[in-house]
This record gives sequence, structure tokens and C-alpha cells, in this order.
Amino acid sequence: MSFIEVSNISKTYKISKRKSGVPGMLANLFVPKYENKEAVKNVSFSIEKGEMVGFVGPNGAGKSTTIKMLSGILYPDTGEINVSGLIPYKQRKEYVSRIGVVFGQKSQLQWDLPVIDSFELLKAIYSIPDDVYKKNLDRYMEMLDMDKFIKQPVRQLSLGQRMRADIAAALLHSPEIVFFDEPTIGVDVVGKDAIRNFIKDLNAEDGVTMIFTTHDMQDIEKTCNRLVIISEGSKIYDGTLDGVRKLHGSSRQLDVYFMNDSEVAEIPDVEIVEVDKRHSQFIFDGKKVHINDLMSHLLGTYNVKDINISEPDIESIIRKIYSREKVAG
Amino acid sequence: MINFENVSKFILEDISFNLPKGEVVGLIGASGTGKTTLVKLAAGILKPEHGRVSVLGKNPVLNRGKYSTRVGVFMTGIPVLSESDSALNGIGILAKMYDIPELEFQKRYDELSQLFGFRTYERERLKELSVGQRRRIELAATFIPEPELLLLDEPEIGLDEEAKQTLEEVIKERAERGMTVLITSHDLQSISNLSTRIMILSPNSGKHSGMIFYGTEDVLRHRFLPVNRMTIKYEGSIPMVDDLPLVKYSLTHDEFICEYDERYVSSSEILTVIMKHTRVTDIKIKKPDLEQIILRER
Ligand SMILES: Nc1ncnc2c1ncn2[C@@H]1O[C@H](COP(=O)(O)OP(=O)(O)OP(=O)(O)O)[C@@H](O)[C@H]1O
Ligand SMILES: [Mg+2]
Repeated sequence: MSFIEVSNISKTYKISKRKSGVPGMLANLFVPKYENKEAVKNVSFSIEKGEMVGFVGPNGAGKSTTIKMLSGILYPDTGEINVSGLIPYKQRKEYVSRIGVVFGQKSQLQWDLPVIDSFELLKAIYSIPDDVYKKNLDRYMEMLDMDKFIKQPVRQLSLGQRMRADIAAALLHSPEIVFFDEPTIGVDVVGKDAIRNFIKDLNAEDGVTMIFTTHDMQDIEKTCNRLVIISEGSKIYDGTLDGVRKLHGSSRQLDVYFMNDSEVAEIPDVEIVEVDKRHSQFIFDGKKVHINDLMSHLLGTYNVKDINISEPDIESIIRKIYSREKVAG
Repeated sequence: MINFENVSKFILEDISFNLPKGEVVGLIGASGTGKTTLVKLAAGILKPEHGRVSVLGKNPVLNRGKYSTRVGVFMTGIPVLSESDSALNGIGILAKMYDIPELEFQKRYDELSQLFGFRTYERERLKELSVGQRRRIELAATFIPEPELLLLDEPEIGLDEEAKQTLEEVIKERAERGMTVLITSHDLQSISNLSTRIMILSPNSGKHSGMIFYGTEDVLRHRFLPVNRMTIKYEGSIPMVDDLPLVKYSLTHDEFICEYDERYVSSSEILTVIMKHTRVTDIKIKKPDLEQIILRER
């Protein structure tokens, strides 16, 4: 049995169909009150202690819902979750002392209080022993570079600063597992870097199990080697990032910039996108089209000023996976 | 469309620029360099301490609200729709406020709801939707009045890859039809895809923040990040590259890797030389990430 064992969980939200206003009230007499919305369908996975796993997927795929079930905020309608012998939504009291939760969208800090006061408050709520609190605080202060803003009220912080404070807050009681729902949302490059490094270090040094969701593929690329893709409530991929890349490995995009306005003629097996009169993109499979032939054709036919050639980035691969799922589903 | 003359406010110091019609300007800079402050000044939400801001020829503070169909603003924390409305209701209410004729509204709504993909949940209240589903709807709502000038502060937050691409496409298409856009984002790839010009804010020698660059990405790369890296795989004889003005290079029996400064030599020149000698099987060019400018200028 793994550290975290999730088997066949499903979650359906009941949403009210009632219309507002007086005409709505009349209409409500005749329609069923609720409509069901399946957010998570039959999802299973297991995670070992000390692992770091990133969840990605389209908007509304069910990532946040999954995180909420894992952290015991929501219960699954069917299926089971077991975390080292505990059932999150049943043994909630015991469970919360062992986990940390960060929602990128929602702060658990007090809006009008200085950050440090919120920390003190959490210390009291979780009854964190003095020595543990002090040790963690000192360490996170340094790792997350918080001394510049620790005395400021939360409402004055930038998004990146607030997120760092929230992450520290969720970790003051030394949890074994941390759940992050979009921890880098709206954070700038520098802040993202700080957060990624922190997550990575804590995982490596303390063996904290880390589970997070994100829309930024760089988060995955720079931190963890396991990725779970959720789409329309179901798990559609569980493996490494390289594994995703290999599925789409040999395609290439060649950007050609011309000296003068050029009409580009068709080329077999090459998709041509005219960006403007002096810039066209050639997209092809490196296994089918010989780059040498293509290049000599282009250099021989047109007045080429500059070229650029790239592999598809992970973002466009992911985009393809999402849209294919939609077509298939 | 937007004109700043020696504007100072909070962290921003002495900012001057002119944003011409039909341009898409990407505003970038590290956290705390004042991107949102600049957008708020342009939106008339903030007043400059010094200097003068004019938008569509007027003072945006005095005119805020009055000509809002001409200026659209999307900013986290300034909700476009009410949480307890659905997309269909909420956007319908907006259309009435903006006096958009019913038929015209239908046309725009159909198109945007299709593009941003929220048809299937257009009747659900926003508070019962996922974060990204909500943002999709709020973005679509921003486009509904078809503003002449659109100010977007980090619009891609919370969007999945597909929605990010949709947003880029919609902005590009509107810009082609004459809409002017000022956009901030931490997603520099997206800024690079979209912008006709890039503006960079960066800490200056004092405690403030100033504009260190305003121009096209090409010029930006030329000035700050001119060195690219090219990898060429080949079969056949080893090419002669001694005559090329490269920064550095390495050659093996089947691979050539070089760094070159695009101010002195272009990739096609290098390639032309290589292809004279050997048969190329693969080429990769890596331009430095725009992020590096921000990390470096911090
Ligand atoms: N409070 C709620 N009430 C009703 N339905 C909800 C609620 N929260 C989410 N949903 C629905 O459940 C499904 C999954 O939502 P969830 O928030 O888990 O998605 P997500 O993968 O986190 O998406 P995003 O990337 O946009 O954050 C969606 O169809 C959404 O509309
Ligand atoms: Mg979510």
C-alpha cells in the first residue's frame, strides 16, 4: 500500500437550477431543483512518501476538486482516499495537523494584520510548540526572503509576496504533506523562481510530499518529474514530462524571415503559415521531411534574411492533448 | 491613444511615452516595478502625482465611466460581473448598460462564448464555476462592448493553455481591426507572441522605477540579448566554419554547436556556409528567454 492511495473517487456537484426573481419563482415550481455536475469521475492514483506530483488539465477539469478531496475539505461521493491509514474527510482533526494546504486564489492570512501576526495566530490555532515554530519561521524567512514584508499588512503585499507568506503559513506546523492549488498563479518570474526553489528544497531536504496543480508548464518542468493530466474529470496521463514529449517528439517549426515580400509556394508534407509577407512558418515532421532538402529549397528559392527552428514547446504539446480530448469526448 | 508626460506616481518615476493607435504594447517588469500602477493611471483609477496622463485626448480621471465603451479595463480585483449571475445573465446586463442593440449583442455574444468555450456552462452562476471558467467569462465580457482601447492587467492568470491561445488570437484579431491594447503579463512567451512593441519597467538608481525600454522585440533582443545558440546535426564531411564571425563553437563528426551574435551574423548566413560542405539532418536554434532581461535588470 502506498503512502497516499486514491481509488476510484468521483465527485458530483449539485447546482441549483432556480432562477431568481418573481417569474423565476413560478418557473421553479415545475423544474427539478438541482442539476448534477460530474466534476471528478473515477480517478485513481497512488503517491509515495516524499514524492512530488504536479496536476495539470484544462479549466474545469477537476483539479481543484481533487485537491479539495485529498485535503479533506470535500468528501468523494464514491471511492476511497487513504493517507497512511487516515481517511481525510473522516478523521479530519487528526489529518489537518499532518497536512498543509495552500490555495493560490484564496489567502488564509488576515487581510488587515501584519503577516507575522497572522503567523502567531496560526501558531495558537495549531498549538505549534515554541521551538518548532521558531525554527520553521527562521528558516522560511530566509528561504522565502520574507523579512522585507513580514511586518506589513497582507493587503499591501504584491501577489508574489502574499503567496510566499501563505506558503510559509501553511508550513509552520511542519506538515508531512502539502497540497498547493496553483501556487504560482499571478506570480512574476522572480517570485515563481523563489517558490519553485522553495518547494524543491523542502521536498529534497525534509522529504515533504508535495502535490500541486498549475497551468504553468514551467512549474512542472522546473520542479517535479511526475505529472498527472486530468481532463473532464478523468485521469488521462500519469507519468513523466519527458514521456509527454516523446508522444510528440519529431515535429519541428521553422520560422523564415524574408528580405522582401514573398509569396510562398506549397511544399509537400509541410504545413505553411504565413504570419506576414516577410515571415512564414513551416511546420513538419522531422521524420518525413528532410531538413536539408527543405532548407536548400528555401535558401535557393527565396531571399532569406533569418531563420529560426524549434521543437514544439511543452505548452503547445499540452494544448494539443487538451483539444484532442475534447474532440474525442 | 495613451500619452504619458513625465508621470510619477508611487514607485513610478518620470514615465513618458506615447502609445499609437492599433498597437499592442506588452508591459513587462519584475514584481513591484509598477506595471499595475501604470495601467491604473491609464484607466483613470489613479491620479498622477506629477506629470500628465491623457487617454483618447482626455484626462482619464475626469472621464472615467463617461466613455467607458471606448476604453475597456480588465484587472484582477475589479470584477466585471457579479458572482451570483450566470454568464448569460451578467453579460446581458452589461450589454444593456452599454446600450448595445439586441441583434448586435447576440452576434457578439455568440462569437465570444464560442471562442472562449463557455457555452456549456453559460447558465451556471459564476460562483459555482472553476477559477479558470470564471476568468474566461469575465474576459469575454471585456470584449463585448468592443472598446477602442483595451487595458489588460495579467489577463492570462488562471487560464489553461487552450484559453491562453484563444485570448491571444482574439486580441490579435481585434488589433487588426484597429483596437489598441496595453497588456501586462508575467507570461513573456505570450507577450512576445502578441506585442508589436514591448515596454520594460525596471528599478532605477534611486528607490523608484523607470522605463528602460520601449520598442519592438527585435530591437530589444538586439540590444539586450543578441547571442543565440544554434545546433546543427549533419552527415557527411565536417564543414569549415573558420571564416564565420561566431562567438564560440564546437564541432564533432556529426554535430556543430555555436553561439552567434545576431548583430554580426544571421542564422541563414551560417547555414548557407554549412550546407555548402555537408548534408544537414537537423537544426535547432535557441534564442534566449525574454525572462533573462528581467532577472538581470532587477
Ligand atoms: N462550488 C461549486 N459548485 C458547483 N460546481 C462547481 C463548484 N466548483 C467547481 N465546480 C465545477 O466542477 C468542475 C471542476 O471544477 P474544478 O474547480 O475542480 O476545476 P479545475 O480543474 O480546478 O479548473 P481551473 O483550472 O479552472 O481551476 C467544473 O465543471 C466546475 O464548474
Ligand atoms: Mg482550480
